Amino acid sequence: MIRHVLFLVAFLLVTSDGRVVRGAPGGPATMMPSPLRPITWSARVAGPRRSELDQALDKALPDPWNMFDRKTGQRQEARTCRDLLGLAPTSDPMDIHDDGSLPTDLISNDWNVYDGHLVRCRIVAALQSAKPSLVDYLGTFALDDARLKEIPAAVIPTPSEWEERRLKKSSARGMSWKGWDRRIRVTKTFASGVTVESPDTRCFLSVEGRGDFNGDGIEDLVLSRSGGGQEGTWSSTAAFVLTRRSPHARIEIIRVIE
Amino acid sequence: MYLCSAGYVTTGIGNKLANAQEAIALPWQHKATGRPATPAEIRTAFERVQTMTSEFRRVDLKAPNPFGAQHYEKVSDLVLPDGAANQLAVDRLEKDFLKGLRALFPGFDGYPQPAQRALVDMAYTLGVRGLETKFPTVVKACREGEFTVAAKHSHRKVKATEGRKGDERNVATHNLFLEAARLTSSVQALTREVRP
Repeated sequence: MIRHVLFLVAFLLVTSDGRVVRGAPGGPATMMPSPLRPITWSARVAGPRRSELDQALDKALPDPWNMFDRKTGQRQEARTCRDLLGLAPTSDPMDIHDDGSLPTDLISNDWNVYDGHLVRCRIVAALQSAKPSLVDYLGTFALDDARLKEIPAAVIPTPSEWEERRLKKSSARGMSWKGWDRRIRVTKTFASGVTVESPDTRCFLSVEGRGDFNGDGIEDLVLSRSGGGQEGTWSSTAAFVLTRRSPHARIEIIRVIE
Repeated sequence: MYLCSAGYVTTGIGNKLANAQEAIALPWQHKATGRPATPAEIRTAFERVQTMTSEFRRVDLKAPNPFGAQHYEKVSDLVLPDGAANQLAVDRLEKDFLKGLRALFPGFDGYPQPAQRALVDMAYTLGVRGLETKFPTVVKACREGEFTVAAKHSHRKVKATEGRKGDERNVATHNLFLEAARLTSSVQALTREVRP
């Protein structure tokens, strides 16, 4: 108990004067000895310096999006994450045409690309507001077949609200992805990402960052998931803030970013 | 011609072009002049688009494509004539979906047309297998001719961020099933009336 109080005091002192210890994986050394665990993030989120994470919302998107507010009819070009996140929820991206014809809905492929950008922007915003943590019970968190026995089933992509409800209920009782679907195969895709495939679904998973997202002092991580069905055009991108509240507790989802 | 999110050269409504030959088989034309493209021009366009994977796969060899279809207009002015993309979708429908839907629903061809259209739309987005495994209530309801029940359970997940597009599609599918239910009930009423 006393140790927890001391940790909390140290945490408040360090965060209140801004002398926090931060950096990307393999990034710059820490500034001073501290009980805090720094926020970390993947190269897909931003460069290794904290300033790069801070500026990531202002970085140009690969292509601008033509956004139309369906309530006001107003058009706005979104060139950065900050532009996208600043729009009203009634704004949708649309295709504009150089022949003067009316804007049209995006094709499914482009919608999925847009959705991926939007979720990535929200991940950046979440990481910017994360705090250094005091303890970590998640460990190195390599993404492999064994890890899928720990990741909650509610991370599984599904286009069905009926299945989504079942996945959430089962996850609350401790059901894992692998427990739900034993047919899944995991293959390494790139540095920190894997492809998870089942006869029904195919998606990419990667760890986008770590830090304390809910203020309890315990390290959480952001796991992004993009992909969809083996057939059909459905696809979705989402990120899950996962945590483990004690050394032997199961992994929980504390927030969904979508 | 564009690269889909998985990095394959694609055209129209998600029609993958496995190689340049498949592209050459389609009636491409130059956007500005309407002049039909030669096989050499089509091959060049295909190869230019294909090599654009290097824009996002320098580090991660399987990284998803962050660019939309219009991004690829800068390397090729070839387009398909009006209606060709829809025709490709119809062809794909015949080849890929109807066979599977008829296997999943033995009475498919006898369903009211709105129900058939709703199921085709669901199969297009989910795949026939996805429809079967993720929407079992819809499948059961359609097999039993209960299209009102199918309407109620046909809703595909829409995120809060998904806006108009996802909702419109769900509303259209829902309404098609309801129309099928109305037609079925009218036919049943008529059958009762004409029965001697």
